[in-house]
Parts: sequence; C-alpha cells; structure tokens
Amino acid sequence: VQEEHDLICKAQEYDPVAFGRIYERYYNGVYKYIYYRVGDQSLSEDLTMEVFLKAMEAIDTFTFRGVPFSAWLYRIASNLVVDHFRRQPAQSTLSLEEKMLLGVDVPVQQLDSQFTHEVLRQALAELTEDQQQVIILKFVDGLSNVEVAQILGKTEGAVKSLQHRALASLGRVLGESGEVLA
Amino acid sequence: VVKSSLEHLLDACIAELNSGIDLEAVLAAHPDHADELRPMLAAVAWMQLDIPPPARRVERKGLFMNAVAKRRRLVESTEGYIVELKAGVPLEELLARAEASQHPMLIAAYRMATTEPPAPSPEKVAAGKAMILALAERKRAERRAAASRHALLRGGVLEVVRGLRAGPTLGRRVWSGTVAMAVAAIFLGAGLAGVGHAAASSLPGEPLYGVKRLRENARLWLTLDEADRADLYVRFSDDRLREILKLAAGDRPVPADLLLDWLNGRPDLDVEVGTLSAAQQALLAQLVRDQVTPAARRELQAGLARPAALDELVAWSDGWLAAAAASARPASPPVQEPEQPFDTTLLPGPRQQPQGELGQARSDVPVKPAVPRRVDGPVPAPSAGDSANVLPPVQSAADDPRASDEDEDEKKPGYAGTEPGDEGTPPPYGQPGIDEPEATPPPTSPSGSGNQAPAPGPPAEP
Repeated sequence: VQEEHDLICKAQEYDPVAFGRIYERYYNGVYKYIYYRVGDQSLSEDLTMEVFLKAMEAIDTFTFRGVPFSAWLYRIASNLVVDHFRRQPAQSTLSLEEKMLLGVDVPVQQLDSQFTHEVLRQALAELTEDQQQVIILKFVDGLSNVEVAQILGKTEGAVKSLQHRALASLGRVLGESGEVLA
Repeated sequence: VVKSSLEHLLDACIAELNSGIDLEAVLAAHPDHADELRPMLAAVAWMQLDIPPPARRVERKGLFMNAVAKRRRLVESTEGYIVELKAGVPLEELLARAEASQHPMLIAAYRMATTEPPAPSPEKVAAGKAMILALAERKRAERRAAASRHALLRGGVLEVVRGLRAGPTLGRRVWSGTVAMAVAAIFLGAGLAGVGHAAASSLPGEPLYGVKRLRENARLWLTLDEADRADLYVRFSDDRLREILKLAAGDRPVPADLLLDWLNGRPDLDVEVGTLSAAQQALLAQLVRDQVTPAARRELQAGLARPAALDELVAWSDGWLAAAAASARPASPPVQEPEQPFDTTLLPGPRQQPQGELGQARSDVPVKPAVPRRVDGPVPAPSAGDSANVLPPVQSAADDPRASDEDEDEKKPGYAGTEPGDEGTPPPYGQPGIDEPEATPPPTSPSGSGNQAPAPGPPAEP
C-alpha cells in the first residue's frame, strides 16, 4: 500500500518513471476488463490506452481514501466502455461463428482458446451490468470482494450476492450452450 | 353522531373480515343486508388484500426469514468454494462437496478464472507506454515552468525590486512621483483618458510610447506594497518582451534599452524564454545572434543588474540556432536581409534615456554584412556617435499575435499574458496563438543552468 502511495505521489508530479510503472502494473488488468466488456482486441487496446491517458489527465484529482488505485482505473475503464457503447450502440463485434462464416481469417491454433473466451464473453453479455463487472473483476482480474465493492460502490455482502446470481446465470447460459459442462 | 344500525352492522362485518373470515361467509351471515353490504365490504376486502391478519403475518415473516437465511447460506457457501477455487483447489474436489445446484456456477467460475483473453499486441502496448511517458514528460515541464513563473512573481522578483530599484532610487522615486502627478494632471485635467489606452498599444518609436512608459513609472511609484510592485515589474518586463518580438516581427528597429529593460525585469531567463512559442523563440534567437556582438555585449552588460543574464541569453540563442541548423528542415523563419543599415556594435544607452529617442534608426551606422553573424573576435570599439541604442530589425515569417498590444491595466497583477478564453486578446506566453505559425519546436533553456526547462535539442518537424 505504501509503495502504491509513493508511486501515485510521484505520478502526481508527472514523473515519467512513475507513470511507466503504473502503466506496466495495471495494463493487463484494465485490458482484460475492457476486452470482456467489448469483445474486440483492437478496440480493447485503444480503450485501454485511453484509460491511461485519462488517468494521467486526472491524476491530480485522485486522493487516497482507502480505495486502491486500481479501483480508480477500473472506474475510468467502466465509464469509457459505457461511453463507447453509448456512442456506437449499433456496432457489435462479430462472434467467432460469424467470423468463420464470413471468411474472416482466424488462425487455426487460436481457434480453441478463442472459441472458449468467445463463448464466455457472449455468456457474460447476457448478465446485467453489475453482474458482468463482478465476474470480470473477480475472476479475470482476480480482485477481492472488498476491492470489487470499492470499485462498484457497493457493500461486500452485495458483491457476494451479485456474484452468486451472476454465476448462476452464467452457469445456466453456458450449460444451455452445451460448452461448459461438456 | 349516532351510528345507524347499518353502520354498526358494517363495522361488525369489517371486523369479521379483518379476523380472516371470507367475504362471502360474512355476507351469508347477513342475508337481509347482503346487497347493501357487498360493495362496501368488497372495497374493504380489496384494500386489505395485502394486509394479512397478524397471525398469518407472523407465519409469513418466519417463512421469509428462513428463505433469506437459506439464501445467505448458499451465497456464503458459493463464496467459500470460489475462494478455494481461486486458491488452487481442484475443481473436481469442489464439485464433489458442493450441492448439485452449485455445480454450474463453480464450473462457470473455473472457466472464467482460467480462460485468458487474447493478449494485446506488444507493439501497441509499447507504443502506448512511449506515449504516456512523453506526455508525462511534457506535463512535468509545463508544471515546472508554471511553478517557476509563480515563484518569480512572489519570490525572486522581490529581490529584483529591492536590489535594483530600492537602493539608489530615492531621487528616482521623487522624480517618478513628479512624473506621476504630471501624468495624472494630464489625464484628469486635460480629459485625455483615452490617451492612456491608446498609449498602451504603442511601440517604441511611436509618439505615445513615452506616455506609456510614464504611466508605468507612475504606477510603480504609486504602488507601495513590494509584492505588488514586483508583480508590476514582471508585467512591464513582459510588455518589453512583447514589444521586442513585435518590432522584430514587423521588421522594425529594436532599441537596445528595450532589451535591457526586459532582462532587468527577469531574474531567471529560463522561465521566460522557455515559455515562448517556437516562432517567438526563432525571432528572439535570430535577433540575439544578429545584434548582440561581443562588443555590444559588453556595453549591454554594463546596463544590466545581472550581467550574466545576457550571457545566458546568448548561450541559449547559440544552442537554439545550432539545433535548428542541425535539423533536416529549416527550423526557423527565413531571415531577410534588412533593407536599411544597422548598428553592428549595438551600443546600449543609459537606462533613463528619454523614451522618445529610443527606437530611432540611425543613418550613420555601418552597413550590415550579407549574413549577419556575431563576431567572436575583437571588435573595434564603437565611436561615440554609435550609441544609437538600436537593435536592427529581424524579419519574421509572421507577426506575433502575442505582441498585439492591449492595456494591461485591467489585468490582475503578476499575470503576464491574458486569461484563457479572453476573446480578441493574445494568449499567454507558451500557449499557441490563434494565427501563430506552427514553427519549429526549439530548444528552450537559455542557459546551461536551466534545469527546469527541456534541454536544448534539434527542432522537431512542425
């Protein structure tokens, strides 16, 4: 915690080294979070970059109130994703099946893993906004209930409850797809 | 009010309804009044539909609480399995212990935790990091420049005020006070308030420029607070730099006094030069290169409270021009040869020389060489007649929008530029003007000691 505090303090002085460390430390988590929300690699990369640019612009406004810095970044990411869908509601990414049908080149060696996370992503899309966030933050980014609660502005009990309902829905959707239980 | 028999009967029936007796049973017990009672009792029954009798309420609450407790146990149980799953306990082991209803949830959680999305492109990650670092560097430089500027306003300039002006200036202040009263008499008595505004936009060599400087001196004399006076010095120094840049951009002679006044108002050149736009730095660098010859340098330094300021300025100019020359493309606007001859020796005049004599080009000065260069070797001492106090013109590609003149009397003290958003007024130093050419980004620090400004380097492409 103290290390993160020092890092952010340096970043607030626009120390490039500190920003480099922040970028390296949080990039993967933010990227995964965004990927499972938007389902497109290139778009996720762009939005992830935008998250860090916005974080830099607003780093002065970040204050330590017991909330981890990552929570702040995820909140920026969440807002960006919402804004993205608000701007382009009609544009949705092609599913793997649609890509294959349309002849989009998908490397064979990536088919298995891509199929799996594509199925998961589509199952996630069936969940509510809060449920999606809980599942992604807990299982993709590996955050604790406390951290997820801080990001979502909910109690820890509410997060557990959301997680339970989300997993129930996710299990049902995946079970119906015939993939998860196979 | 005495209740009628029907009202008593209605009360009794409502009580029966509240006790849980069915509506039809209540009506059946009073067949003679059933038709009259039915609509009223039906309304009562409808209104009390969601209000079960106390006994039933207790029973329902118990059922509800049991359901909540069961749900909570299930949620906690799932959470426990999730914790174990994330800790690495095999899925099969968890499935063996969990209830059948939890199996899909645990499998879904396992899939989510173990499935990686496609990795981001390493090139994009690296490019993003480079962009972040570059932006952070730029923001840090901006912040430091702003901080230094602020420190100048409230700190360093005070020293200038005390050191430069306070000591030998009893007579000067008396003189300035006399001037102030004279100016006030002119403005108030003769009703020439508009002259002040017009004078504010004047440049050296113009008729009203002397009035402008008199007003400044009057304001300095009338300002008793040292901090406020320091702010005024900074503002007036900013004005001098604007005037220099505007004269240079307009191919007009630049009086040496103007340069001295600017430098004397600035204890730290790093900040001032570093915050100029690229086009302005190009103008200034060329002006210094062309006019501050070694001989002129000595003369100019004699008029400076901090002679090293001129050395720093020359060093900055040399670095800027060297970097520009090293660039693949021309770094600065082309320098046109001045049509009129100029004074290569650049003799500074006395600090209190009457303003009306400044900026007047002389006709008896030596002819400028084809390519103006500062001469590093010995230079013949200037003759007495060469004290023309004139910096010859430097041609600019575009006029400097920041050099547009406005009466800064209404500006807050210590602010050298204009407020963002001001329409029709030039932006502060360091911010691009509306019609300012995107010139070559240049080195910024005027001296090697300038650790707060970006190090000199080759100009980038516009």
